[in-house]
Amino acid sequence: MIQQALNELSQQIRIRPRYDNFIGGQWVAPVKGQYFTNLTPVTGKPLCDVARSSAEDIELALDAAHKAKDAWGRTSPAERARLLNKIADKMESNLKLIAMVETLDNGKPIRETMAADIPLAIDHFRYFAGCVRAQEGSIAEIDHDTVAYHFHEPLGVVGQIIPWNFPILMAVWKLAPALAAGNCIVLKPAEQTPMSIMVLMDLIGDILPPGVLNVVNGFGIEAGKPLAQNKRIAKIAFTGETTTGRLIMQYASENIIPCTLELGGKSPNIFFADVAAQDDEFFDKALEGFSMFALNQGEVCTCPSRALVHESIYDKFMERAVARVQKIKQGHPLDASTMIGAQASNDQLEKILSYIKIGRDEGAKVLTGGERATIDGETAEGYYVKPTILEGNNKMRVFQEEIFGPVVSVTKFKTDEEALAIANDTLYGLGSGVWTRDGTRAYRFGRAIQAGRVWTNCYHLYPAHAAFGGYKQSGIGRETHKMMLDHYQQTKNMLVSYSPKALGFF
Amino acid sequence: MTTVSATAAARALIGQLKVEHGPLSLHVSGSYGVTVTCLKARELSIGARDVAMGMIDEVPLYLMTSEVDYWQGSAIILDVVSGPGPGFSLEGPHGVHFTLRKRADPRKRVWDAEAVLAAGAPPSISQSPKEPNR
Repeated sequence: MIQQALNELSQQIRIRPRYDNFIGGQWVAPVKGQYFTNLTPVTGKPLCDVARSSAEDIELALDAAHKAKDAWGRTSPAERARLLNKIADKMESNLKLIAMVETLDNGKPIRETMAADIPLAIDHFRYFAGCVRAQEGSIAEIDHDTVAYHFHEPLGVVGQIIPWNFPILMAVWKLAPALAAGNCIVLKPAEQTPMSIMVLMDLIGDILPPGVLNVVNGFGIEAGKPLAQNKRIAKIAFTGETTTGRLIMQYASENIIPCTLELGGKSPNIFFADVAAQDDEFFDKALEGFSMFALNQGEVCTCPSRALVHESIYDKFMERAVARVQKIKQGHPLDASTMIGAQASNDQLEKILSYIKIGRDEGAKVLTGGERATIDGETAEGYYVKPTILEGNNKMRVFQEEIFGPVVSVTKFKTDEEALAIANDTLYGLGSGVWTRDGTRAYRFGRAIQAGRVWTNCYHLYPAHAAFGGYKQSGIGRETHKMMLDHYQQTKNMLVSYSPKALGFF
Repeated sequence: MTTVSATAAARALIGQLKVEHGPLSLHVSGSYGVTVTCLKARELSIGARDVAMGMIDEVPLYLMTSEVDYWQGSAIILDVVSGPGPGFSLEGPHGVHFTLRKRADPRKRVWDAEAVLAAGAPPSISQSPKEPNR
């Protein structure tokens, strides 16, 4: 099935056995001539080779970006928006191609890449094309003859480091606002999923002027660090784990530049008693909301990995929830009916399985799943885990640590106060879910939860124009909203006097 | 009492990385699963909220204070697994990454005691206090 997919792709675009870096509008071999092998998690077998870049390659990319930045920064918002829309159109007309490559690179089911990852990425380009057209500076009348003008100006050249869980969508979350704001970019994809963004560059690379968007692959320590620490970037954006997030901030402090960070999470999903008051459409929606921990194989920073269910409905709710989760269809990620695919890498697989063991050892009860899934055929050696429900208490490791897999830890609560205490008993504050038929309770809870996103009677929606970002140790900054333009812009204030009169001081 | 130790594979990797990079430090965070980041010593500025929990072959292992309670009273064991880990950790290019195993001692940890209780063990086990250890 993989070979068939690659053959199909090859008829539409050149699938390269080896991907160089994309610098200054060209494919450029890494200076040291080194490459690493990119495995597909679908089968655990090699997919292509990718540049193993070093500081020298980052410098080449920065040279190209700096060469392009003045002209790109002066391009009119209308022209930048036109090009972003053109990228979106190109992606839309190649939706299936991009979705297939993303599935091969990351292991997520084609159903998700076709219906969520890529369509969302397309929409984010269009959204920021619209935002920048509509963005206005301001004029303030300080007094009758003195006026303050505020202009938005691009930062210049920015660095972006992308995670492996949504290789294209997470890249676009950062690319779209940065490009719309008039910046040039050096982007480093995750070493676990370096291919799909390169295929995207083969598609859209000629739409932007050379040097505006440069992509350099490699390992974090060899390519990511020389980018993040570089004195020639005006901002660094990062999505990933906490220690690297701290390093990114520290490097930014060395250069006194801003950074935006999207780090970990351990999101609570809270089901109040009234959810089960009727066995209706809404109850069914809530059960789907519970099952959302399996979306993207649980490899989402906002995975609703802690479910809190009111004790009065616990048995009834869990009986239905377990049945719902057992209906999740696991299979070949390229099969259009597959709902859960492969974990992105072997180490993720091992980590998840070890957490399930930790959960069992700590006394958590496995309600369903709890083991590796073997899918016959070419996927036999792929990295598959059965969606797993663990029952326990919030002090267990499986409730506190980010597993990043299709594993939910469930516990009961008695009172609203207890639910809130459990929900906030985490170092993180990225996502959360509240399910209730009582609008007042939903409001009260939503405001009290220490998290940047409170999904209320829904979960895992990521539309453009709803701000996304973390409280506490989950990060700094808000993506997927026009306010992200501010994170990629300087404010220029021109303070102008129209009075001919001297101030009278001297 | 929290103890820090390492498997033979982890010690061998530390030895290799020392040859390549000189003195090292290890930093633990609880995101993306427990993540261990191995850096050159002093690469990450050690702040007031970093606590050295122990040494492995002269390499300090740091936790943030917000996570110390969580590991309290357990045996922390550094190990190595295949696949490059996330972030800027030095071992990435070797195609492996460090991980932590935790061997809990239920007599010293309240939450484990709860688990034991839930399994029907005698309630006296849950009475043991957490022992502070810095």
